This record gives sequence, structure tokens and C-alpha cells, in this order.
Amino acid sequence: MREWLGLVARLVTGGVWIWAGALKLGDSYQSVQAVRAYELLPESLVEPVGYLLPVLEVVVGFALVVGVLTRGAAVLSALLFVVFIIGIASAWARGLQIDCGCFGGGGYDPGAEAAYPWEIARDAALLLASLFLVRWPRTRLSLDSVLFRPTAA
Amino acid sequence: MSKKSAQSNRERAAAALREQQRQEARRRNLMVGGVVGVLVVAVVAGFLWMRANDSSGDIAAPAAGSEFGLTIGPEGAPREVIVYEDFHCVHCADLESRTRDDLTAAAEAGDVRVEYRPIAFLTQYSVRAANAFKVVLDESGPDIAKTYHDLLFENYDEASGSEDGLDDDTLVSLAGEAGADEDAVRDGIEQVTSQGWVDDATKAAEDAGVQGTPSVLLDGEPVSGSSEDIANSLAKAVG
Repeated sequence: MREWLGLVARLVTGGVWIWAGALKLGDSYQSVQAVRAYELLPESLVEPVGYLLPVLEVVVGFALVVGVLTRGAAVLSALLFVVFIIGIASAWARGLQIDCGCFGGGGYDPGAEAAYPWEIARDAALLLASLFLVRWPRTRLSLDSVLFRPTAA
Repeated sequence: MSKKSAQSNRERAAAALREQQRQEARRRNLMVGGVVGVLVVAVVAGFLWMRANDSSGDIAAPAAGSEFGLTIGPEGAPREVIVYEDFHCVHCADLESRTRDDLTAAAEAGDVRVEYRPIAFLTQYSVRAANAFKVVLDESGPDIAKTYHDLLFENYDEASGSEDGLDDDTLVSLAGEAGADEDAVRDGIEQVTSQGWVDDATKAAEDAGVQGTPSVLLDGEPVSGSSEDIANSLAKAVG
């Protein structure tokens, strides 16, 4: 039962990552602007992080969906969610009105204030799913179970 | 079978098992290393691809003196600055407050020619404010329009609260404060009569490669970074 739950957690979390990352892959500039809008990183880091995040999201999502290195991918996934929750909470606390840039977009958004609680709730739920996989990485229909099957008893 | 050889059989079996476990662990480590390697290569390749596709450095903007801007400073000044800005953009307002005094002084001293190009990338207020700016420019001339432009950004905080920004009455009264005849500009502001100009200006900026505001060019080269970085670069160039 737990291994099936793990499969669901993998597919949902990984699917969200792939979707979120893929929407940003086509627009490097916007991804950089979305990072810059948080006003948290020094300018020298804004561009590298803006380029890196969408790629990392897609790769982590891919690893989770196919179930390869599940525990490692889940650890990265959980770390990313912690970072995003901190980012959104800090934007909210500083009164910034920005689109979280979670699924593309980013930058100024006059309706941002109303969206922050939902974004944090969504990320927290996905963080829990990731932590579930860190604790119980053995899941159904995973590439791990094929790659790392013991060759002999 | 002697006791001794039974014992050596057990030892051999144990050794074989240990050997098998060692090979198992080796295979496992190689596999993990291989998969990690593939994923790292994918991340690095993706990163480089994202960097190569960042087109923000390519802006082929027309030089100062275009039909979509307001110019201060003399023609033939040694430096040229072009500022694409949106009246509903927080970093534009920030950039304005950081650079206005420097740029105005340098323009008056003849050291720089600055063209402000208002465009509408963000909200309906971006359009209405840029329209109001154009109406004042047409009715009252560049000096009053520059003051109006400054006032619009000084009132950014009030405009930032909602998508609607400042209401028409406030746009008109600020025009009056800038020195325009309120009755002459009211209709144009309320009816958004220069929306076509705003659309064309925005389209021209997009065609030139502008992807966001503020976008600043110094002698034709895009200046990158946060509004603070841009302000520092400009201060260094014209100071």
C-alpha cells in the first residue's frame, strides 16, 4: 500500500516539477526577471539562478516520474520547495506584489497578495509528498527497482 | 568427510558470499554514479542552453530623437541614454528616483542626451498613464511633459495599489501641477485619445527587442542588472 502511495507522490510531485520547469525553459529572460523580482539574491547570482532553476526542476521532475534515484531526487525536491516557500513568504512579508514565477511569468502582479497563501499551501503539500519519498523511497513501478534489483539471492 | 574439510568448505562459501556482496555493491555504486552523471550532464547542458537563449542583451533600438520619446540634453552630447519605462513598473519608479537628478544635471551641462520612452507592458494603467503623458506632451510641450513624467513616477506608490492605478481626475490634476492647462488635457486623458501612439510605441519597443521594463541603453548598449546597478552604471558614465 505504502509503495503505491509512493508512486502517487512521485507522479504528482514530479509532474508538477516538469510542468513548472518546462513552462520556463523557453524564456530565459523572463526566468531571470522572475528571480530578480524577489530582490533576495545579489545581482551576480540572479542570472545563473534564473537559468538553472527551470532545468533543475525538469530534471528532478523527470527523476521522480520515472523513479530513478528516488531518494536523492526527493531530497532535492524538498529543498527546492523549502527555498520557494521561504521566497514567497519573504516577498509577502516585505509587501512585494510579485507573481511567484512558479509556472512561468514573474515580476509585478497587482493581485499577488491574494495568491500568496495558496502558493505557500500548494508548495507545503508538495513538500510533504517529497518528504514522504525521502522517508520511504521504495515505490511501485520505479526504475530504481529495475536498476538496483539484486542479481542473485 | 573430515571435520577439517567441512570447516574449510564453510569458509569458502562465506568467502564466495562476501565476494558476491562486494561485486553487488560495486555494481550498485557504478550504476548510481552513472545515473547521477547523466543527470548532471543534463542539468549543465540545460543551463548552458538557457544562457545561450537569453536574448535580453540584444536590443536594436533607434537612437535618441525617435517619435516615441521625450528627449532632454543637446543633440550631439558625448553620451546617449535611452530609457524604456512603464509608469506602472516598480523598478522603473525606483530607477527614476535613483537617476533623475544625475541625468537632469548632466543633460543641462550638455554631457548627455536622454530619451525617455514610455511604453505599456503591464496593465491598463500603463496604457492610460502613457496616453496621458502623450496628451500633455502634445498640448503643453516637452518641458511640462518632462515634469509630468516625473510627477507620475513620484506618485507611483499611490498607483501601485491596484490594476487601475491613478484615476483620471488625479492624472488631470497632476498635469495641472506640472503646468499644463487642465481643461486642454482632460478630454484626451479621459478618452485615451493617444492610445494608438502608446500601442505603436510599445510595438516599436518589442520589435527592437525590449522584453521588459526598465530597459536602459547607454550609447546603444543595453545596461543590465537591477535598477540599482543600472543607476550606478549611468552615474559612472555621465558623472
